[in-house]
Amino acid sequence: MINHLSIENFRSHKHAELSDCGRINILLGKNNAGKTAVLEAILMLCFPPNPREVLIVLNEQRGYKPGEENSELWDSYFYDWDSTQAIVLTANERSYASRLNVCQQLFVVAQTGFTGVYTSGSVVEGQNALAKTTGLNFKYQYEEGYIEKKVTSLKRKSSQSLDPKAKEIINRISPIAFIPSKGIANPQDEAERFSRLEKMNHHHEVEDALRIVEPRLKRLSVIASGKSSMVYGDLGDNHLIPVSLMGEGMVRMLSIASAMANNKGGIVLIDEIENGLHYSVLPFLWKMIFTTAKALGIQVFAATHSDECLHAASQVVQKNSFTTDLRLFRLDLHEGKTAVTDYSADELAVAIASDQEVR
Amino acid sequence: MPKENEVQFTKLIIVEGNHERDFFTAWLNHLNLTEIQVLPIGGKTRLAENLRPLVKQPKFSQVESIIIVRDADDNPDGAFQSVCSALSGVNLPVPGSPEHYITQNNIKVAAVITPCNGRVGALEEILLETAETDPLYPAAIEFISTGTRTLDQTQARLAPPPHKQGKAKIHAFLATFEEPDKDPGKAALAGVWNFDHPALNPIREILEQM
Repeated sequence: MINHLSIENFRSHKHAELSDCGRINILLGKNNAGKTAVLEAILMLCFPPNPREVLIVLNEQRGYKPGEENSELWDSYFYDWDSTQAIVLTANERSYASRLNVCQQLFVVAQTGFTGVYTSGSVVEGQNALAKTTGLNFKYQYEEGYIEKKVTSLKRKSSQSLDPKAKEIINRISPIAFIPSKGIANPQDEAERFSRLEKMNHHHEVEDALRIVEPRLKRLSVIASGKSSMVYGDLGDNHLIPVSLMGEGMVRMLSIASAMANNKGGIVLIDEIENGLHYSVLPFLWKMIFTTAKALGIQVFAATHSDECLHAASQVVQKNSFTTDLRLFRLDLHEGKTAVTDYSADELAVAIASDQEVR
Repeated sequence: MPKENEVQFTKLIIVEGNHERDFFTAWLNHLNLTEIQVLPIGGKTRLAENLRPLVKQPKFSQVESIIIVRDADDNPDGAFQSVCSALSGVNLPVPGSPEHYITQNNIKVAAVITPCNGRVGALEEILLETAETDPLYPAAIEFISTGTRTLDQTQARLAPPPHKQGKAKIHAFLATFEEPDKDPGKAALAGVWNFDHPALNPIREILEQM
């Protein structure tokens, strides 16, 4: 589990540190306080060394079209859009990279596909010769050593060549899932995740979670249609219905439950966890998250604005003696600095009982 | 919508409960000290635990001065030490004596142990003093005194101990009003107490120095 996380020069954070993280971590703060940026930083650091895919996911989450490329994107990851200062992310979790440096560079791209770092005077300008392009250099530090990756394009690649060390790391590191705040998750991805669970006979956990939202649900099933497949639900009618048509709450619960069940020993990041869910469902959602996280050794980082969501989490924690598993972190941006205030589960309970604000 | 005990102002009075909150709210209004917030989160046994989330509230960093008010009960020194221990537990400045400010790290803190000046009892003792010219005051006092003497002689049940006599007398006094079921806080909001009475001077001075 990540116990300590440090973020430098990333998005809205000049410098931010989260210490004494727990099994379940709730991120609080006003709009633009940088809650999503913390989740993104964890994703960037802990995702396998495939930074192009991470950046594509981050851009899509921020509203850019898939594969969209424009010059401002390269600066947008850096604090104050200043790409002269490197992004540095560190954590003390050995299952993932312990440090990631990201800096913007000018690369040269040859027609052969070779990409190298541009050094002034080293490139012969001319037709059909080398081209210069802006990109990011990612330097990951793993137990096995450093891995460097360059990203000069934000278009998805169907496959990528990996050196043996990178392959070894990718095979070893724990899984990580990111559930964005809005929008319907890719139905194909959901179908694949659910299929994996069904293969291991763990699909019942997800079905149980969805029954919290829709008690009529009898079963879930992956149905293929042409090249794509989707998760359908049986509500006892004479035909199955795609879960994506059952409402935002069902889609949200499917995403969360499926991510939890698929990430044994890993990390699950959930932005605006309460989105799409009725307040009465929230205690059951938290119960599922705490129980699954403890059983499967998962660490969760979830952002929320919702008072009802905090009440539900506190209620579940106090009722089930999960107090040592919960930590809260409120982010406050003040004069360009990120102040992080942490709360224990007991402090949250006292704040709620005495009607004090924590968000 | 702000929470009831959400820090909004830079000056805070932390009191035990809603009676005290209503009393101080009415009095501050009378004194035209409208930039002071009264938070009823300092119940005797919960002051320390309630202070922990208080100092972490989003706007607490803007707070400039704090008064903590609690009853002396039968042990004024113990009450003061208990407040000091709670302040120390959240790294707030700890005053050297009751009803005096200490200023450290740009925050000013005082502990008011009512009825002040090292006396046993509660805020009610002071409120009673503000009502001593009321025509029904002697009757209310006499009722509780007589009742206590009678109970002591008959042993029928326990009478209010000395440090709770003020609370008993104030309820007897408030029972003489047209609406006889008001608590001391609601009575303050209804204008029962004489807010300009000299008995309130020790606390008034502290309020005016916030």
